[in-house]
Amino acid sequence: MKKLINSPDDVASETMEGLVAAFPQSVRSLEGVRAIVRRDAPIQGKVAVVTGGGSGHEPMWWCYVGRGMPDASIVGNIFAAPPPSPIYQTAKAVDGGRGVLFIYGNYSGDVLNFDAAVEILKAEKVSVAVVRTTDDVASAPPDRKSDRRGIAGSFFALKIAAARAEEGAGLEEVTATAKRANFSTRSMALALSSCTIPASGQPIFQLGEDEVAIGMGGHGEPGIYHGPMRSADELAQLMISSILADEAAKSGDEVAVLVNGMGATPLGELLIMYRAVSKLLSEAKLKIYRSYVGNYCTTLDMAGCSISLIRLDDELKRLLLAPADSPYFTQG
Amino acid sequence: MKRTTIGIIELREILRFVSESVTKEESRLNALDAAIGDGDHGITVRVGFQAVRKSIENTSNATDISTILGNAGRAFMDATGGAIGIILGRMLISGQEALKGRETLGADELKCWLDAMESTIIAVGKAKPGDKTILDAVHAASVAVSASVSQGNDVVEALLAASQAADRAARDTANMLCKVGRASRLGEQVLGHPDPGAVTFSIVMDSFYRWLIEHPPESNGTHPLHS
Repeated sequence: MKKLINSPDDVASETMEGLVAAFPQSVRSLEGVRAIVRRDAPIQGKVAVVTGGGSGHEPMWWCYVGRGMPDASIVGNIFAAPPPSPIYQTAKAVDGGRGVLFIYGNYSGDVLNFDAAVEILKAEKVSVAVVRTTDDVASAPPDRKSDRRGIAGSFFALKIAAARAEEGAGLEEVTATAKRANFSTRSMALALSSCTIPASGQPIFQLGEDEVAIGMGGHGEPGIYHGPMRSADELAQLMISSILADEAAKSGDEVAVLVNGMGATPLGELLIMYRAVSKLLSEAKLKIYRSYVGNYCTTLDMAGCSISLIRLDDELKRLLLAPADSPYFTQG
Repeated sequence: MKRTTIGIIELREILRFVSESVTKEESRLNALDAAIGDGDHGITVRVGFQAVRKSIENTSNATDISTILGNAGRAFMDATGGAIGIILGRMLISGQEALKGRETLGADELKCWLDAMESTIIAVGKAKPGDKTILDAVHAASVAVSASVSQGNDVVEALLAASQAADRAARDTANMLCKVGRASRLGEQVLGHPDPGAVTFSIVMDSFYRWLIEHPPESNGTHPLHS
């Protein structure tokens, strides 16, 4: 294993220090707490949107903190949810008096730790709401949608909910918008290689040279299908058909598309995948409103990609295009 | 001379010994986790127990076993995170509540603590025995200790029963399907692989027992650590 690190145990905290050093115009750290907060937080009179999770998925979660984006993100160890105490302290630090909405991926570790923090906040009469992202269609059948895990498509719920909070909406409205964005999003991922956890130096699963794993989790949980490698067009076809089979959108709908890299896949390959996706969506008579291609939610040095689709209405379109200024997502 | 209880000094040493044992097993625990998860369980518990060790050194003025366990649990939780962080952390913290006011950890206290651990896991993790989690090992240890206590056994014998039962139960989790947690999404792929959390708990119980038998009190009744 060759990695640009100092010590495996310091990866999460040193990544965080690097982010704050590189983007002081957007974010700052929080004294004594492993979290990234918006530079000007707390914003009085605004609902605070707080996210977080294990690290190793950068830029997901904490590189998306900023104006028009989440107010804060708690940084866990590699692939491990942050503990309750920093979640609690971060929420307190960014609460602008109108409540706190937690948005995070639906993983048991995150649920346990965020729930424990929510319990303490509620006891202190802080208004708190929770939306868990569940965009990964491969992780549970349609009748158990709420059991699904959150992967790259979580980006849409974060961006859209934070934009609604920025407009001055109250906690209930922001929460409803976040839920709607999440329920309108579907994702499917594939892996071409495993990733290597810095502390163990070992790949976390085995994938043959000529194999592809479809439907795998963002932490390398083995996929639901290991099969022979196929062309980009064929893989895109497989992924899009399972997304569309999950009632992602119907003919005539407007959608935003995210083709996300897992960390070790060149942008060129993601664009080749996007090319196939855009053709397939146009054959399905879907209108692509906006597209995003790049590394949004990685899994360390894994090769592969995910495709996410969100069905849009006028409100979601407005919020998606609202200005944003975070280290790894800026617009308008 | 027979040992019948664990005092504050012994508990500190035992927790240090647990930290050493878990560190030695780091690679094996990672490998077990790689089969059904993301392969970092060994790292997590090593980091967690290193923090426990530090908490013992930083709170050398703690005057009762219950405070030591509470501090250890909070240190574990804060250093690790993830599902195992909060579950193992709260299992240690459950000792703080269950053993409040007790000066030593004898067989009865061990039983109370194991019962508290079991209800903590059920409350926090929503797991049941048979779900292929750490609970399977804790539950088995708890049942074994209850039986041992009812036969009038001391803490050393009770810990032997606990560690044997936990070890057996951890091995048996290989035959179970995951019902809760991240690995529950894997279906039959998990068969043949034991739950890493259950194995960790068996290592912890084994370390408690082994420390005690490797450090018998001296025949004149004074423990070397007290002299």
